[in-house]
Amino acid sequence: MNSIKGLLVKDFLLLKSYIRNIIICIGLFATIIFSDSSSDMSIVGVMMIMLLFSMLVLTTFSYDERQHADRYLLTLPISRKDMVIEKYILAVITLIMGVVIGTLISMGLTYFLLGKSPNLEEMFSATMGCMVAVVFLQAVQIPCIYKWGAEKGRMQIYIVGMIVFVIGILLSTFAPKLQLDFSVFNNYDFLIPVFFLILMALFYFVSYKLSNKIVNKKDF
Amino acid sequence: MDNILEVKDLTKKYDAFELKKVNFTVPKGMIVGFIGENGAGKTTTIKSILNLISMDSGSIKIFNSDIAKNKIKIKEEIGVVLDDSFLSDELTPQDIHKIMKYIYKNWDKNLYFESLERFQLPKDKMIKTFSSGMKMKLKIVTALSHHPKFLILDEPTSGLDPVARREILDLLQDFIQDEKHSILVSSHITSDLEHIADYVVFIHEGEILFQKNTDELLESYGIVKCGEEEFHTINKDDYLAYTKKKFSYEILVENKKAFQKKYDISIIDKPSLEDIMLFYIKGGK
Repeated sequence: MNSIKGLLVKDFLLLKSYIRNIIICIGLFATIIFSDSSSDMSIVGVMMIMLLFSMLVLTTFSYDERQHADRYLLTLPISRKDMVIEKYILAVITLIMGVVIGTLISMGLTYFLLGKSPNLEEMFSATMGCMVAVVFLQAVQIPCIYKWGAEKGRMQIYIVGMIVFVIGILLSTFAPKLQLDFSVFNNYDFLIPVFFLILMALFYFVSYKLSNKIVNKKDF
Repeated sequence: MDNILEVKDLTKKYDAFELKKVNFTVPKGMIVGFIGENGAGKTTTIKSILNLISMDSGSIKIFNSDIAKNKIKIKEEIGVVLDDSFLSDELTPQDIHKIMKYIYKNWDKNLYFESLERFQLPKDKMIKTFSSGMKMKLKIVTALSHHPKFLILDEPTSGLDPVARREILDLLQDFIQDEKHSILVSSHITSDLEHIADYVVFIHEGEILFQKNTDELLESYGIVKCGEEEFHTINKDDYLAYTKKKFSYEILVENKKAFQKKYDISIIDKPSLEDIMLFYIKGGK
């Protein structure tokens, strides 16, 4: 467990300089809101900040790759399994950070700068949708990086992502033809976030299993 | 004598390269120099020892324990310096302490910061601003700050100027003052190892050619210079390799005293490790 803590410390120390970029992005976002007070940009704001945070895991991989840090880390008392687990913990932490910071900043900016009350219901469903998308992105990204590397693997990430996306589109196209009856869910709105959470957990779980398998077989 | 490291019949096959039943040991309290030209298999062997790559067959024991089965426990007790990999150079030595204190149970904060000061390594500057010599010193200081018993270094002096190389060799000699400590150090700069290594393991094209005591090796081996006529009178079994010069031959013999007795040749030069390595690699038989 301590080795996972050490790895998390390493990744957050690496991300220190990245925070500057995030601040610049938030500044840009605030400028957009200032310039167009007629539209409600709060949802876009949350999404943007979440996406920005979702890139953090990828960034730590890139930093490490330049010095072949994985190889070095495995000469320390760190197991391959812990190394993989840490990246998923980092993924969850950055996801939560993105949601919390994104929501707070967006709500704050909308309320104080534009004097509007944010549409919480809309913001919640948009955030949920965006979270699923981000988790999906990370779930595809991490095993691809372990397999091909952060730099070389960029193209593969897009290809794998596109394949899964196309499968999703095909499913959503053909699903209505199966004439499944979802009306029973109409009275159970609260189940939707639960479903999303389960879906996200499933993405992470499958992705973790895959990464673990790749890393165990990998020569460093 | 206890062995800290035992490599037995290590085999690893790649498309264009292969480790062929590699066998050698690192005795307790000794520095073992692992020599060979670039691409001979030094790094692949070290990676196998550290369980960074899988081996096809063979066994590796550190502190009498199988590395594949007890890697975490063993890695608590060893310090490793790799030529081409370390923590990201966006970090500072201060950051390294913040990370390592969680990773090693025995991380010694005082020893680490004292060593940084001793080697004039700034603790708040990013590693990317360091010179190659400073980076290597930082790697070694980091590898020593959890009181390891066994140090494994892959090419620690490569690409460094003579002053930095000397400092690093001194550091290794300081470490070995404790007789419980041992070092395996690979290098293609053999002159460095001549000064510090108690034993030399020579690998060539994935095969161990010998493991010998350095002093004995340098004392018993000899280089004989002779003319073509004289060369043809020498039995092939009496030398290890030869090289043909413009007007003469040079031959490497394993036991110069025995050779001198058998043949009436009085001048036999003392070879360096580099000479021996070159004869094995470039010489004919």
